[in-house]
Amino acid sequence: MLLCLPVLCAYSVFLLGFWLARDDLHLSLSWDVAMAAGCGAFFFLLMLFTLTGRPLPLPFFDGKFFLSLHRWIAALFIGCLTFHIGLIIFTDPQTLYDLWPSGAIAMQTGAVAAVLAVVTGGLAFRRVWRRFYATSGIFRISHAMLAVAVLAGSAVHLVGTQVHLVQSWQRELCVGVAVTAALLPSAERWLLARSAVHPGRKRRRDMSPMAAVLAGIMLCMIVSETAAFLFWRR
Amino acid sequence: MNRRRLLPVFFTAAGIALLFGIMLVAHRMTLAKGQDIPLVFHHHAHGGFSCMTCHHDFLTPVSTPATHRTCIACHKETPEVAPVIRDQFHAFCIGCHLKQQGEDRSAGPVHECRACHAHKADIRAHGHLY
Repeated sequence: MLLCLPVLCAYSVFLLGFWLARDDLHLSLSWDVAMAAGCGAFFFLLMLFTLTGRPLPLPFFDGKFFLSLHRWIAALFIGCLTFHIGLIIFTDPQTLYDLWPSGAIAMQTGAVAAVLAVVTGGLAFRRVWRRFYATSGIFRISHAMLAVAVLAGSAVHLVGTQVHLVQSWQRELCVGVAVTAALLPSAERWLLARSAVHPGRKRRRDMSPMAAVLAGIMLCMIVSETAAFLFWRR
Repeated sequence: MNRRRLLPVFFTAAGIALLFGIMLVAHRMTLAKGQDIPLVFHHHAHGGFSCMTCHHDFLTPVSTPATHRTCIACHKETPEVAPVIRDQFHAFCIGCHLKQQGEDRSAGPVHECRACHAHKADIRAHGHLY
Protein backbone atom coordinates (compact mmCIF):
# COMPACT_ATOMS: atom_id res chain seq x y z
CA MET A 1 0.00 0.00 0.00
CA LEU A 2 3.01 2.25 0.45
CA LEU A 3 3.26 2.48 -3.34
CA CYS A 4 -0.19 4.08 -3.62
CA LEU A 5 0.69 7.47 -2.17
CA PRO A 6 3.63 8.20 -4.53
CA VAL A 7 1.48 7.00 -7.45
CA LEU A 8 -1.33 9.35 -6.43
CA CYS A 9 1.08 12.30 -6.09
CA ALA A 10 2.79 11.47 -9.40
CA TYR A 11 -0.57 11.25 -11.17
CA SER A 12 -1.66 14.62 -9.74
CA VAL A 13 1.53 16.25 -11.05
CA PHE A 14 1.04 14.41 -14.34
CA LEU A 15 -2.54 15.66 -14.74
CA LEU A 16 -1.66 19.23 -13.81
CA GLY A 17 1.39 19.29 -16.06
CA PHE A 18 -0.18 17.63 -19.08
CA TRP A 19 -3.75 18.80 -19.00
CA LEU A 20 -4.02 22.10 -17.23
CA ALA A 21 -3.06 24.39 -20.12
CA ARG A 22 -6.11 23.64 -22.26
CA ASP A 23 -9.13 25.18 -20.65
CA ASP A 24 -11.13 25.34 -23.86
CA LEU A 25 -10.82 21.72 -24.80
CA HIS A 26 -14.05 20.11 -23.66
CA LEU A 27 -15.74 18.97 -26.84
CA SER A 28 -18.00 16.35 -25.30
CA LEU A 29 -18.02 14.08 -22.28
CA SER A 30 -17.10 11.01 -24.32
CA TRP A 31 -14.24 12.89 -25.99
CA ASP A 32 -12.96 14.02 -22.60
CA VAL A 33 -13.21 10.49 -21.21
CA ALA A 34 -11.37 9.11 -24.26
CA MET A 35 -8.60 11.68 -23.72
CA ALA A 36 -8.49 10.85 -20.01
CA ALA A 37 -8.12 7.17 -20.88
CA GLY A 38 -5.20 8.04 -23.17
CA CYS A 39 -3.68 10.14 -20.42
CA GLY A 40 -4.09 7.22 -17.99
CA ALA A 41 -2.56 4.82 -20.51
CA PHE A 42 0.54 7.00 -20.82
CA PHE A 43 0.79 7.20 -17.03
CA PHE A 44 0.56 3.41 -16.70
CA LEU A 45 3.20 3.10 -19.43
CA LEU A 46 5.51 5.33 -17.38
CA MET A 47 4.76 3.20 -14.33
CA LEU A 48 5.80 0.09 -16.25
CA PHE A 49 9.25 1.65 -16.62
CA THR A 50 9.35 2.32 -12.86
CA LEU A 51 7.99 -1.03 -11.67
CA THR A 52 9.85 -3.20 -14.14
CA GLY A 53 9.30 -6.47 -12.34
CA ARG A 54 12.69 -6.25 -10.63
CA PRO A 55 12.38 -6.56 -6.82
CA LEU A 56 12.62 -3.19 -5.09
CA PRO A 57 13.66 -2.54 -1.49
CA LEU A 58 10.17 -1.35 -0.65
CA PRO A 59 7.92 -3.27 -0.10
CA PHE A 60 10.29 -6.05 0.92
CA PHE A 61 8.38 -8.72 -0.99
CA ASP A 62 9.64 -11.47 -3.25
CA GLY A 63 10.21 -11.18 -7.01
CA LYS A 64 6.89 -12.79 -7.91
CA PHE A 65 5.02 -9.87 -6.37
CA PHE A 66 6.87 -7.32 -8.52
CA LEU A 67 6.52 -9.42 -11.66
CA SER A 68 2.82 -9.86 -11.03
CA LEU A 69 2.44 -6.12 -10.37
CA HIS A 70 4.26 -5.35 -13.63
CA ARG A 71 1.85 -7.65 -15.49
CA TRP A 72 -1.21 -6.13 -13.86
CA ILE A 73 -0.06 -2.60 -14.68
CA ALA A 74 0.61 -3.75 -18.26
CA ALA A 75 -2.97 -5.08 -18.38
CA LEU A 76 -4.24 -1.71 -17.13
CA PHE A 77 -2.13 0.06 -19.76
CA ILE A 78 -3.52 -2.10 -22.58
CA GLY A 79 -7.04 -1.69 -21.16
CA CYS A 80 -6.77 2.11 -21.03
CA LEU A 81 -5.22 2.15 -24.51
CA THR A 82 -8.06 0.04 -25.94
CA PHE A 83 -10.62 2.26 -24.23
CA HIS A 84 -8.88 5.41 -25.54
CA ILE A 85 -8.80 4.14 -29.14
CA GLY A 86 -12.27 2.59 -29.08
CA LEU A 87 -14.01 5.58 -27.55
CA ILE A 88 -12.28 8.15 -29.76
CA ILE A 89 -13.28 6.16 -32.88
CA PHE A 90 -16.86 5.91 -31.57
CA THR A 91 -16.96 9.63 -30.73
CA ASP A 92 -15.18 10.80 -33.81
CA PRO A 93 -15.25 8.11 -36.54
CA GLN A 94 -13.20 10.28 -38.86
CA THR A 95 -10.18 9.54 -36.69
CA LEU A 96 -9.88 6.44 -38.87
CA TYR A 97 -8.86 8.69 -41.79
CA ASP A 98 -5.61 9.22 -39.94
CA LEU A 99 -4.69 5.60 -40.59
CA TRP A 100 -4.35 6.40 -44.29
CA PRO A 101 -0.84 7.43 -45.30
CA SER A 102 -2.03 11.00 -45.79
CA GLY A 103 -3.25 11.25 -42.18
CA ALA A 104 -1.58 13.21 -39.41
CA ILE A 105 1.83 11.70 -38.73
CA ALA A 106 1.44 12.06 -34.94
CA MET A 107 -1.75 10.00 -35.06
CA GLN A 108 -0.05 7.34 -37.17
CA THR A 109 2.84 7.23 -34.71
CA GLY A 110 0.30 6.66 -31.95
CA ALA A 111 -1.30 3.85 -33.96
CA VAL A 112 2.09 2.20 -34.56
CA ALA A 113 2.90 2.56 -30.83
CA ALA A 114 -0.43 0.90 -29.98
CA VAL A 115 0.30 -2.01 -32.33
CA LEU A 116 3.77 -2.38 -30.82
CA ALA A 117 2.26 -2.25 -27.31
CA VAL A 118 -0.01 -5.18 -28.12
CA VAL A 119 2.90 -7.08 -29.72
CA THR A 120 5.08 -6.38 -26.66
CA GLY A 121 2.37 -7.64 -24.34
CA GLY A 122 1.68 -10.70 -26.49
CA LEU A 123 5.35 -11.66 -26.66
CA ALA A 124 5.69 -11.34 -22.88
CA PHE A 125 3.49 -14.35 -22.16
CA ARG A 126 5.71 -17.08 -20.75
CA ARG A 127 4.61 -19.69 -23.32
CA VAL A 128 5.17 -17.29 -26.20
CA TRP A 129 8.57 -15.89 -25.24
CA ARG A 130 9.94 -19.34 -24.48
CA ARG A 131 9.17 -20.32 -28.08
CA PHE A 132 10.86 -17.28 -29.63
CA TYR A 133 13.76 -16.52 -27.30
CA ALA A 134 16.56 -18.83 -26.25
CA THR A 135 17.15 -17.22 -22.86
CA SER A 136 15.33 -14.82 -20.55
CA GLY A 137 18.21 -12.35 -21.02
CA ILE A 138 17.60 -12.16 -24.77
CA PHE A 139 13.87 -11.81 -24.15
CA ARG A 140 14.55 -8.90 -21.76
CA ILE A 141 16.66 -7.08 -24.37
CA SER A 142 13.94 -7.51 -27.00
CA HIS A 143 11.20 -6.57 -24.52
CA ALA A 144 13.11 -3.44 -23.51
CA MET A 145 13.61 -2.41 -27.15
CA LEU A 146 9.91 -2.82 -27.90
CA ALA A 147 8.95 -0.99 -24.70
CA VAL A 148 11.21 1.96 -25.54
CA ALA A 149 9.71 2.06 -29.06
CA VAL A 150 6.20 2.15 -27.54
CA LEU A 151 7.27 4.92 -25.16
CA ALA A 152 8.91 6.94 -27.95
CA GLY A 153 5.88 6.50 -30.21
CA SER A 154 3.50 7.52 -27.43
CA ALA A 155 5.58 10.60 -26.55
CA VAL A 156 5.65 11.66 -30.23
CA HIS A 157 1.87 11.10 -30.37
CA LEU A 158 1.33 13.31 -27.32
CA VAL A 159 3.69 16.06 -28.44
CA GLY A 160 2.80 15.93 -32.13
CA THR A 161 -0.98 15.98 -31.84
CA GLN A 162 -0.74 19.14 -29.70
CA VAL A 163 -4.14 18.48 -28.18
CA HIS A 164 -3.12 19.00 -24.59
CA LEU A 165 0.57 19.78 -24.83
CA VAL A 166 0.27 23.18 -26.41
CA GLN A 167 2.97 25.10 -24.59
CA SER A 168 6.65 24.51 -25.16
CA TRP A 169 7.36 23.76 -21.47
CA GLN A 170 4.75 20.99 -21.61
CA ARG A 171 6.35 19.43 -24.67
CA GLU A 172 9.78 19.66 -23.05
CA LEU A 173 8.34 18.12 -19.87
CA CYS A 174 6.83 15.25 -21.86
CA VAL A 175 10.09 14.53 -23.70
CA GLY A 176 12.02 14.84 -20.41
CA VAL A 177 9.66 12.46 -18.62
CA ALA A 178 9.86 9.94 -21.50
CA VAL A 179 13.67 10.06 -21.62
CA THR A 180 13.88 9.70 -17.82
CA ALA A 181 11.46 6.75 -17.93
CA ALA A 182 13.50 5.09 -20.67
CA LEU A 183 16.68 5.41 -18.60
CA LEU A 184 15.05 4.52 -15.28
CA PRO A 185 15.24 0.69 -15.49
CA SER A 186 19.00 0.80 -16.14
CA ALA A 187 19.52 3.35 -13.35
CA GLU A 188 17.36 1.29 -11.00
CA ARG A 189 19.35 -1.84 -11.79
CA TRP A 190 22.65 0.00 -11.25
CA LEU A 191 21.51 1.45 -7.92
CA LEU A 192 20.04 -1.82 -6.63
CA ALA A 193 23.25 -3.66 -7.47
CA ARG A 194 25.20 -1.19 -5.33
CA SER A 195 22.92 -0.92 -2.33
CA ALA A 196 22.63 -3.61 0.31
CA VAL A 197 19.10 -3.36 1.66
CA HIS A 198 18.06 -5.26 4.76
CA PRO A 199 21.10 -7.60 4.76
CA GLY A 200 20.30 -11.00 6.19
CA ARG A 201 16.56 -10.43 6.12
CA LYS A 202 14.47 -12.56 3.78
CA ARG A 203 11.89 -11.10 1.44
CA ARG A 204 8.28 -11.84 2.31
CA ARG A 205 7.04 -14.62 0.06
CA ASP A 206 3.73 -15.51 -1.63
CA MET A 207 2.63 -11.93 -1.92
CA SER A 208 1.72 -12.02 -5.64
CA PRO A 209 -2.09 -11.98 -5.00
CA MET A 210 -1.44 -8.66 -3.30
CA ALA A 211 -0.25 -7.24 -6.64
CA ALA A 212 -3.73 -7.60 -8.18
CA VAL A 213 -5.27 -5.80 -5.20
CA LEU A 214 -2.66 -3.04 -5.44
CA ALA A 215 -3.24 -2.62 -9.19
CA GLY A 216 -6.99 -2.43 -8.55
CA ILE A 217 -6.51 0.25 -5.89
CA MET A 218 -4.24 2.21 -8.25
CA LEU A 219 -6.86 2.03 -11.00
CA CYS A 220 -9.63 3.20 -8.64
CA MET A 221 -7.45 6.07 -7.40
CA ILE A 222 -6.54 7.18 -10.91
CA VAL A 223 -10.12 6.93 -12.21
CA SER A 224 -11.54 8.90 -9.27
CA GLU A 225 -8.80 11.53 -9.49
CA THR A 226 -9.36 11.93 -13.24
CA ALA A 227 -13.12 12.19 -12.73
CA ALA A 228 -12.62 14.87 -10.05
CA PHE A 229 -10.17 16.70 -12.31
CA LEU A 230 -12.53 16.62 -15.32
CA PHE A 231 -15.42 17.77 -13.14
CA TRP A 232 -13.30 20.66 -11.84
CA ARG A 233 -12.10 21.70 -15.33
CA ARG A 234 -15.54 21.53 -16.93
CA MET B 1 26.89 -15.33 -26.79
CA ASN B 2 25.78 -17.42 -29.75
CA ARG B 3 24.96 -15.17 -32.69
CA ARG B 4 21.96 -17.26 -33.66
CA ARG B 5 20.45 -16.73 -30.24
CA LEU B 6 20.57 -12.99 -30.80
CA LEU B 7 18.49 -13.24 -33.97
CA PRO B 8 15.20 -12.37 -32.17
CA VAL B 9 16.80 -9.15 -30.90
CA PHE B 10 17.87 -8.29 -34.44
CA PHE B 11 14.37 -9.06 -35.73
CA THR B 12 12.83 -6.90 -33.01
CA ALA B 13 15.01 -3.92 -33.95
CA ALA B 14 14.39 -4.51 -37.66
CA GLY B 15 10.63 -4.86 -37.10
CA ILE B 16 10.40 -1.61 -35.13
CA ALA B 17 12.48 0.26 -37.72
CA LEU B 18 10.46 -1.25 -40.58
CA LEU B 19 7.12 -0.34 -39.04
CA PHE B 20 8.05 3.28 -38.37
CA GLY B 21 9.92 3.44 -41.71
CA ILE B 22 6.95 2.22 -43.78
CA MET B 23 4.71 4.72 -41.99
CA LEU B 24 7.06 7.65 -42.69
CA VAL B 25 7.81 6.70 -46.31
CA ALA B 26 4.12 6.10 -47.14
CA HIS B 27 3.22 9.42 -45.52
CA ARG B 28 5.94 11.32 -47.41
CA MET B 29 5.08 9.64 -50.72
CA THR B 30 1.39 10.42 -50.35
CA LEU B 31 2.08 14.04 -49.54
CA ALA B 32 4.54 14.31 -52.44
CA LYS B 33 1.82 13.06 -54.80
CA GLY B 34 -0.49 15.76 -53.50
CA GLN B 35 -3.01 13.31 -52.09
CA ASP B 36 -3.95 15.14 -48.98
CA ILE B 37 -6.52 14.59 -46.29
CA PRO B 38 -9.99 15.88 -47.18
CA LEU B 39 -10.72 19.54 -46.57
CA VAL B 40 -13.86 21.61 -46.49
CA PHE B 41 -14.41 25.32 -46.05
CA HIS B 42 -17.70 26.41 -44.50
CA HIS B 43 -18.26 29.40 -46.77
CA HIS B 44 -21.55 30.48 -45.18
CA ALA B 45 -20.00 30.54 -41.73
CA HIS B 46 -17.52 33.15 -43.00
CA GLY B 47 -20.15 35.38 -44.58
CA GLY B 48 -19.69 38.11 -42.00
CA PHE B 49 -16.14 38.83 -43.09
CA SER B 50 -14.83 40.89 -45.95
CA CYS B 51 -14.24 38.71 -49.02
CA MET B 52 -10.76 40.21 -49.37
CA THR B 53 -9.72 38.74 -46.04
CA CYS B 54 -9.26 35.45 -47.87
CA HIS B 55 -9.56 36.35 -51.57
CA HIS B 56 -6.43 38.49 -51.59
CA ASP B 57 -6.22 38.33 -55.40
CA PHE B 58 -9.51 40.23 -55.72
CA LEU B 59 -8.01 43.72 -55.67
CA THR B 60 -4.41 42.89 -56.49
CA PRO B 61 -4.37 40.13 -59.11
CA VAL B 62 -1.51 37.68 -58.80
CA SER B 63 0.27 35.95 -61.63
CA THR B 64 0.16 32.21 -61.23
CA PRO B 65 0.49 29.21 -63.51
CA ALA B 66 -2.39 27.58 -61.62
CA THR B 67 -5.20 26.18 -63.74
CA HIS B 68 -7.73 26.11 -60.90
CA ARG B 69 -8.78 29.21 -59.02
CA THR B 70 -9.82 27.60 -55.75
CA CYS B 71 -7.73 28.67 -52.77
CA ILE B 72 -6.02 25.33 -52.22
CA ALA B 73 -5.48 24.48 -55.90
CA CYS B 74 -3.99 27.90 -56.66
CA HIS B 75 -1.62 27.70 -53.71
CA LYS B 76 -0.69 24.11 -54.57
CA GLU B 77 0.09 24.93 -58.19
CA THR B 78 2.04 28.09 -57.51
CA PRO B 79 5.65 26.98 -57.02
CA GLU B 80 6.58 29.89 -54.72
CA VAL B 81 3.95 29.09 -52.10
CA ALA B 82 3.41 25.36 -52.64
CA PRO B 83 6.09 24.23 -50.12
CA VAL B 84 4.53 26.23 -47.28
CA ILE B 85 0.88 25.61 -48.11
CA ARG B 86 0.14 23.56 -45.01
CA ASP B 87 1.74 25.94 -42.53
CA GLN B 88 0.39 28.97 -44.35
CA PHE B 89 -3.25 27.83 -44.30
CA HIS B 90 -3.05 26.49 -40.78
CA ALA B 91 -1.54 29.75 -39.53
CA PHE B 92 -4.08 31.82 -41.47
CA CYS B 93 -7.21 29.93 -40.38
CA ILE B 94 -6.18 29.10 -36.81
CA GLY B 95 -4.67 32.55 -36.29
CA CYS B 96 -7.95 34.21 -37.22
CA HIS B 97 -9.98 31.79 -35.07
CA LEU B 98 -7.70 32.41 -32.12
CA LYS B 99 -8.02 36.15 -32.57
CA GLN B 100 -11.82 35.78 -32.52
CA GLN B 101 -11.63 33.68 -29.39
CA GLY B 102 -9.36 36.25 -27.77
CA GLU B 103 -12.02 38.87 -28.38
CA ASP B 104 -14.65 36.61 -26.74
CA ARG B 105 -16.48 36.14 -30.03
CA SER B 106 -17.71 32.84 -31.42
CA ALA B 107 -14.91 31.36 -33.46
CA GLY B 108 -14.17 28.47 -35.76
CA PRO B 109 -12.14 25.44 -34.76
CA VAL B 110 -8.68 25.91 -33.37
CA HIS B 111 -7.66 22.38 -32.78
CA GLU B 112 -10.50 20.10 -33.87
CA CYS B 113 -8.85 18.82 -37.08
CA ARG B 114 -11.99 17.23 -38.44
CA ALA B 115 -14.04 20.38 -38.32
CA CYS B 116 -12.15 21.37 -41.48
CA HIS B 117 -10.64 18.06 -42.61
CA ALA B 118 -13.86 16.31 -43.59
CA HIS B 119 -15.16 14.91 -46.88
CA LYS B 120 -18.39 16.92 -47.05
CA ALA B 121 -19.20 20.34 -45.75
CA ASP B 122 -22.58 19.30 -44.48
CA ILE B 123 -21.55 16.22 -42.47
CA ARG B 124 -21.31 16.52 -38.75
CA ALA B 125 -17.58 16.84 -38.50
CA HIS B 126 -17.31 15.39 -35.03
CA GLY B 127 -19.76 12.53 -35.22
CA HIS B 128 -21.42 12.56 -31.84
CA LEU B 129 -19.74 15.66 -30.53
CA TYR B 130 -22.43 18.25 -31.04
